[in-house]
Amino acid sequence: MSQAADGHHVNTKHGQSHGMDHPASYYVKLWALLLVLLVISIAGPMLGHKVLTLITAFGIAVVKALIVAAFFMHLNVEKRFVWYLLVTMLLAVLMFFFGTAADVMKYEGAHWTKPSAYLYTEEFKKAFSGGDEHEGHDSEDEDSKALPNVPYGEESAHGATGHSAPKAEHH
Amino acid sequence: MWWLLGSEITIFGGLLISYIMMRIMYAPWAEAAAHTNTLAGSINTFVLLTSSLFAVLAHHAAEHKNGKLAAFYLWLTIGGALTFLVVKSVEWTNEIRHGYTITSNTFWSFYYTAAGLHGMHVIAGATAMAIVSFDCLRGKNLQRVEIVGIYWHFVDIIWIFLFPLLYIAK
Repeated sequence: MSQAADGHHVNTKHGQSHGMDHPASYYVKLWALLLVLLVISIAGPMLGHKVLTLITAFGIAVVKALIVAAFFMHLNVEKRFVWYLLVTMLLAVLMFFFGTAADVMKYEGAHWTKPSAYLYTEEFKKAFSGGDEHEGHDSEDEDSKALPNVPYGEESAHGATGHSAPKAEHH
Repeated sequence: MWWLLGSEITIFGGLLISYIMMRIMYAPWAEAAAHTNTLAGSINTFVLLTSSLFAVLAHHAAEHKNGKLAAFYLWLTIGGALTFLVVKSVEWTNEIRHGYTITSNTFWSFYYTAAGLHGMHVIAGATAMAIVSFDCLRGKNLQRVEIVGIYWHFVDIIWIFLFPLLYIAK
């Protein structure tokens, strides 16, 4: 139940707390704050500093999301189980990350290599431009040596996570 | 609604985590991301944040039993959704004309999949708000304004994370 600005208590059918005690101008101020954060998140990365980009682009995205969730979705006055539900789902996403990152974020393991991924490492590029710096890993790695013949960025027979050269520049 | 949003977190969360892993691992993804249209992304972020304001004002009006005002704000929110889709259409048309299609490479596949899935949520939210708004005009089922509003804010939050990933971090 929330109390209306005119002093009357307003019930909705499901009788939850909605945090609607504030006047409409309260939300307009929050919106203005979100716009200021948006400008910062666009301007920050323009400076070209990596750490600053991470903070202004992603740090501010988290702050903006929390403002919308807490005050527009009224999670700040929502029942506790809703928090538990949402946090559990976020943990599930984190579990997905830890379950797959070991595979996705490595070029090679004890008994396997990922030639398509290796194609994009500096070590690999150096090996094929300089010749002898590259130390071969195993037989599969030999296979990867054929990859420089593949036009840079195109999907190769090895399932490369490719990048095709744009047909034309824009933006 | 919260259960639905819980499932949505895993859908979009999985997609975004996959993107982050690939983006960190493969330098060409960063090169490809340099070709996305930051201006279009910024305009759409502004539009969605503003439409979220309208959605919460619709909720505010519904809490005060003002169905007509709630319907008015819902239509403003729908206007935001339509603006978002128009900007997105222009942006995609431009990209496709320049040869960046869903089959160009895995970055663009991800780009169109993530933004397309989000776009479908925008369409679903706008449709739900339109349906609810007609009840609001008759002063009925005003509690539904809060429910569609929560959904709309979630769609906004997803975009808040898509925006830096696809348009800002270059």
